[in-house]
Amino acid sequence: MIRAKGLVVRLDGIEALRLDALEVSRGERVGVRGPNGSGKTTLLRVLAGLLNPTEGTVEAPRRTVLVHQQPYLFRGTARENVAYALRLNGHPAREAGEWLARLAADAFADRPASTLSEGERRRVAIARALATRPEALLLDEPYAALDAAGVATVTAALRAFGGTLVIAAPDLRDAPIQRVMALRAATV
Amino acid sequence: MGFLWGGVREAVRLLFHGDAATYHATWVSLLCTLVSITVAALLAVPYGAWLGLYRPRGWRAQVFLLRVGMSVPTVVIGLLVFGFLSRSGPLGSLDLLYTKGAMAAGLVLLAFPLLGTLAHGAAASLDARVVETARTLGAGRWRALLTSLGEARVALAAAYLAAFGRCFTELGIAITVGGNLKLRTRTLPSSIQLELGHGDFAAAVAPGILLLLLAAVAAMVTHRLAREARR
Amino acid sequence: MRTLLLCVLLAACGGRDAPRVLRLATTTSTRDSGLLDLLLPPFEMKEDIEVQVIAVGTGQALELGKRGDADLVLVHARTLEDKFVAEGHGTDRRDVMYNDFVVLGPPADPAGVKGKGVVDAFRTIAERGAPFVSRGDKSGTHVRELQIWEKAGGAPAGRDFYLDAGQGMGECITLAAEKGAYLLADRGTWLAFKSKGGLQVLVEGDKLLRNEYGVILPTHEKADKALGRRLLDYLTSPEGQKRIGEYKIDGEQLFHPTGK
Repeated sequence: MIRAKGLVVRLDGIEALRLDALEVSRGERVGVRGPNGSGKTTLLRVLAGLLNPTEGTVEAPRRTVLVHQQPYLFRGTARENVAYALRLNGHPAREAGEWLARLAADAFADRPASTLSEGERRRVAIARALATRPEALLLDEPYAALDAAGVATVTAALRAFGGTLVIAAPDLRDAPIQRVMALRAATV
Repeated sequence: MGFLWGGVREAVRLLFHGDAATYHATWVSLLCTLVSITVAALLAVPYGAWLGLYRPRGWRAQVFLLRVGMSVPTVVIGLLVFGFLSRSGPLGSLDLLYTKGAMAAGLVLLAFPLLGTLAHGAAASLDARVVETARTLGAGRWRALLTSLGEARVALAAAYLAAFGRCFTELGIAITVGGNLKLRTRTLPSSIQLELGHGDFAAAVAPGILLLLLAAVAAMVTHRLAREARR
Repeated sequence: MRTLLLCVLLAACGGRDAPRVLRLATTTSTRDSGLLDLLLPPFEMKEDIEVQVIAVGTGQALELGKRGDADLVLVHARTLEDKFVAEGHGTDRRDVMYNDFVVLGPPADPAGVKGKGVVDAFRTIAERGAPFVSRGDKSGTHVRELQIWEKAGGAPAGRDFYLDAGQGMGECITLAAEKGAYLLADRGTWLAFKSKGGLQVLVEGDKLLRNEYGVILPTHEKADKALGRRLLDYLTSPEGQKRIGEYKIDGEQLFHPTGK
């Protein structure tokens, strides 16, 4: 259950987000749409607990995972990245291969993360996030730089995900969501 | 300049004919330096990184103090440690003055601000997404810090090398706190000073060459580790 | 080679479990003369005591005695020694030996002091403004230098030719050699010095150049007086005194025993 009320976020004096109310029930799948600068990324970061709002309240499950717009992969291989997430949450590290396979990323599982393309990195990051068995998964523009096959793989994996889902993107056509929320540009 | 060439010949003679005093001075220098920078790193690196990643209250003042600490001359540190460890001082009953332990303690004080400042810099320059990614995946603050340190490996290796250089070549602490005792607390730099005091410039060059060689080895090791880490 | 390594390792670990340790605070010139390397080992072996020689300036050596960081003090500055005892920091001051100071200078001797008495020589140096290096560190040598200046009409502190070095004897010798300056030095350090180029003994033998060494037992409660006394007794014993007289550098006797 994700809930937010009266959210205002100011960064360096500039208003980055203004949202009166938001409610996402457990297991619901919501898309957030809006032009660049409307605060989609800021919203996701606030919901994930990575950013404190200047005003307002937020409620979100403890295991809420955010996948950044441009995900950061740690030094090491793709497999090691997923293994890290698994170990962190008490799951066996050998599951890493399975999770990568769900995102069709097992082909390059043992390549250093720094050598992967943007699309490959995104799929590894999503696999890494899913491996933690989150209650809520937040994705910031997950379809950018993916080809048709990549889009299909990601959509399938997200569809199979049973928890709460929030996807922010300018184009939500392929996203497996039930409803859409629109953010207006937060300019004063 | 003649003494430099004579010094090189003398150095080769001392090194290859197993001069016990020279070997021992090398051992003392290495032991005290490695122990102290490791202890200092275990304390200072997480501390500096915490200041850089989480910016707790008063972080600015603490970073300032670390930076000031970096500029304290070794003789001042030596004097401070001497004051504490002297038999007349508060810790006199420990009987630690003029031992390698006392020197290592002084070197920890020398290395701590340096490592703390560099660790802070490394952590603060890290991509903000590093600690966010670790946290969002479920890492607590401490675990996320360790992960971030792992990502900043290259910068930290350089910091470690800088601390090694500073401690390995310093003189003030070795003399004031160590007493320059033969086969006990004499280091390579204090051996040089001793030989200079005797006017034996050639004999002073041998420890000097050793110092350079070991500094080069340390740099090579760091270079190797940094290269592997970059993959 | 293996024995060497073993010795090194043992020496490295040594400390608490080793023989009893006695700390002797003395001056760098005493250490640099090499006398102690000859004098101490027989004592160490017989008594099973390890003597750690902390060689610093006279002032610092006395300070170590005052703080109890040394168990015995051996210096050569009679006025400072007497003051030390008078203030209650030490007892049982005894004569041990004497050597002498010399005035070193460039072989060309621009101030023309060779063969003069030392007070006369200093006066001439000041009049001619010839460069002069001073220890400047309250060492025994420095104290004597100031005493001579007083007799020669006043210490030339602050004047251009007077180089206040604030360093040890060896460093000052190097400095004087490089600058072609005059210098008051103790004969022991000079004889043992390896780079004599650029300097020569120009004035010696004057009564004022006699350099007396004294040994004092510190009174601080933390000083190990039992051990200190053993070394004090040895230094003033017939055996110790004989060894002192036997020490030579390049065939020249350096120290003259005066202990009773």
